[in-house]
Amino acid sequence: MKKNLLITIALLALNLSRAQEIDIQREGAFAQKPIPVALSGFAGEGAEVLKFDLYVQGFSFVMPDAAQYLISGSDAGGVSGTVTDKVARKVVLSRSYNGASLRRQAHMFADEIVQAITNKKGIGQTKIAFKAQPGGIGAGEIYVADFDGRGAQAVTGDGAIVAKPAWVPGRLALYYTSYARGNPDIFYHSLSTGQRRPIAGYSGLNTGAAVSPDGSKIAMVLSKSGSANIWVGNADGSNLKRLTTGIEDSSPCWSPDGQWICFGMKTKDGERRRLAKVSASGGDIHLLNTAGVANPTEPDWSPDGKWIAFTRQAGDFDICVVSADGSLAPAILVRGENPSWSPNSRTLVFNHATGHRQVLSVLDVFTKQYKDCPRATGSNSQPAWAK
Amino acid sequence: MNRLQKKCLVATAGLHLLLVLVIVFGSAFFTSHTKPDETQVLNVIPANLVDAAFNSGVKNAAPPAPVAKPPEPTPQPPPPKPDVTPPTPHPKPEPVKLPEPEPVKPQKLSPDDLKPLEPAKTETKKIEISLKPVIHNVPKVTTDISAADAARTAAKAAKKRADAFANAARSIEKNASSATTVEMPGTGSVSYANYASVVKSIYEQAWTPPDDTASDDANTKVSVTIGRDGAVITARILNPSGDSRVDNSVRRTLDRVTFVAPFPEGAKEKERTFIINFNLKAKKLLG
Repeated sequence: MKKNLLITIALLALNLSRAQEIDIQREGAFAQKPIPVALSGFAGEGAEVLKFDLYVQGFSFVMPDAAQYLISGSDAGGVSGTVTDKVARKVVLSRSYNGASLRRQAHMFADEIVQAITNKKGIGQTKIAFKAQPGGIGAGEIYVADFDGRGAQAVTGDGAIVAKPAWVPGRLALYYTSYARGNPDIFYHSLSTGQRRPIAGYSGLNTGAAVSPDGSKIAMVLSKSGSANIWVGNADGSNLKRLTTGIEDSSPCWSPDGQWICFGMKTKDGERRRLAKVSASGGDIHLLNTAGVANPTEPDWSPDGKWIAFTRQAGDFDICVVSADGSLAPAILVRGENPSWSPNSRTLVFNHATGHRQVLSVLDVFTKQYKDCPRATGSNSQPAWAK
Repeated sequence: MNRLQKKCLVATAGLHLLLVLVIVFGSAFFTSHTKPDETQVLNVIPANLVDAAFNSGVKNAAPPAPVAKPPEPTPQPPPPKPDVTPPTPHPKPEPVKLPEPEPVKPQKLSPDDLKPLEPAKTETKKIEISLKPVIHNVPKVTTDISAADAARTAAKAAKKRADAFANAARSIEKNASSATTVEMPGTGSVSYANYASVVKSIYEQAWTPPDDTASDDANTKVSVTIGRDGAVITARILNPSGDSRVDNSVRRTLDRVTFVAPFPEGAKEKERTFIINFNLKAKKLLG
């Protein structure tokens, strides 16, 4: 009897342990696999918009057999479509749009697809500002366009050298640098009223304006005290305070909580560049750990606060990303410069050289997929994503 | 019962209890040692090897499970047939080859693969022969006639040569493709390991890890029980990783996967349980 009992217990134990073990491993952060989807039924502009929007948000297009999601529909007369989760075997999204342009409808559908599949807000209806130089170099104008570079419109018409447009968060207004008055000055420009006014016109350099997340303050680079340093002031340029005293500081950007300003600086010997941050109310300068990446510059803090994108200047220019708290070593993503985060902290817009011209490009940071935007005119650079 | 007997009873009872405990709970300490080895091998296989055997399961059609058996043998004979028909114009092989494919049908023997290859060789030889006379003719003509004509004939010859090459390439392509198609029906039986690789690939593809992790190395351990028909009976997290974003992404994956694939032929169990470790490593390397 006892023996029998023991044997049954032993068998039970064996049964329990027979579950087969499977390991599924992924490398995190910057080595993500795109989500495979199959697109069918869309033609022309609708298909083009959906492909661009989804590709730069971490999707890839495959045959239906290999897809995780099937996106089918049509863009004849208006965009309509459904998204089917092939694995769960259910429809996760079904929409049809009317009104506005076909392009706009397709962007909206792309946004809803992104929301349904990744639970993130899409970027299809966001805007960027950038600098365009018709002659490739020298004088240019500030432009505003859809995030994919379409529908570009000139904001300025001075025929002067311009630089570094920056959006006021949540508003149709820009700060930028222009030589319109013969000196690099910072201007505020409302896109809704068309009015503009100078914000900083001190002797020497006035550039690199960055607006605080609440819109009440601006950080900028001024050289009125001799060297180019980071200054912070009210949105109208009043109440200035000098934050740094280095030999050459550049490209300030705000942390999303408005507490910190991250910027590029030169080391004391003037030979190397570093990234550093300083409290927006002033204080000690903290160097950022970008170990292994030489000459980092042009930082941009992601709206979710987790990442800082920057440019590596080492022979070529490369787009890099480091975790803002320094817990992960920086990753070098693609060739390019002047990165600017999308509102959803997943995508970057940047510019890179093709031939003698610069072209804007949109990069999905976590899969490293990117696509170039159509050029507005000449050379396009220094993009800023409206947030 | 005297004292000694009592002592002995207590001692034996105690030992038996210990033995039972070891048997029941001991397995928990052993599982992790042997199993990872099996799964690592399976990483790449699923798409091709398993496809033929699990068509119904992988390509998300529920009913084909029982239907899959009859169609399998019927498509298999046709691939050898087209390979055989091209040689039929030649008088010699005809009587030999036509009877052969019929008896071979049920057995899927390897000799089948070899025979279509033989006629292929004879075909390529013929093309080589047609090449040679063209080359010999060209120099003869050029010595007699003007340079312009020579150029023209040379161009013709070049074109002929190019055509001959194209033909040869085409015939080689034909033969090569026929050889590969014959290989496919080779996997008749399905091993236990293949099924695990299907499970693995389905869960791997369905999993979208979060953009960011709080930890460098997050491991979420889940248990998935699959029924005979391929439907997922239960799926639950055994050990969360502690990183809520990773755990949530795994939970979403478990919710999504409701069907894997029917068990392979000959499987006797009503259900199978798999322990799956979803592991996300933060990449620390540059570039």
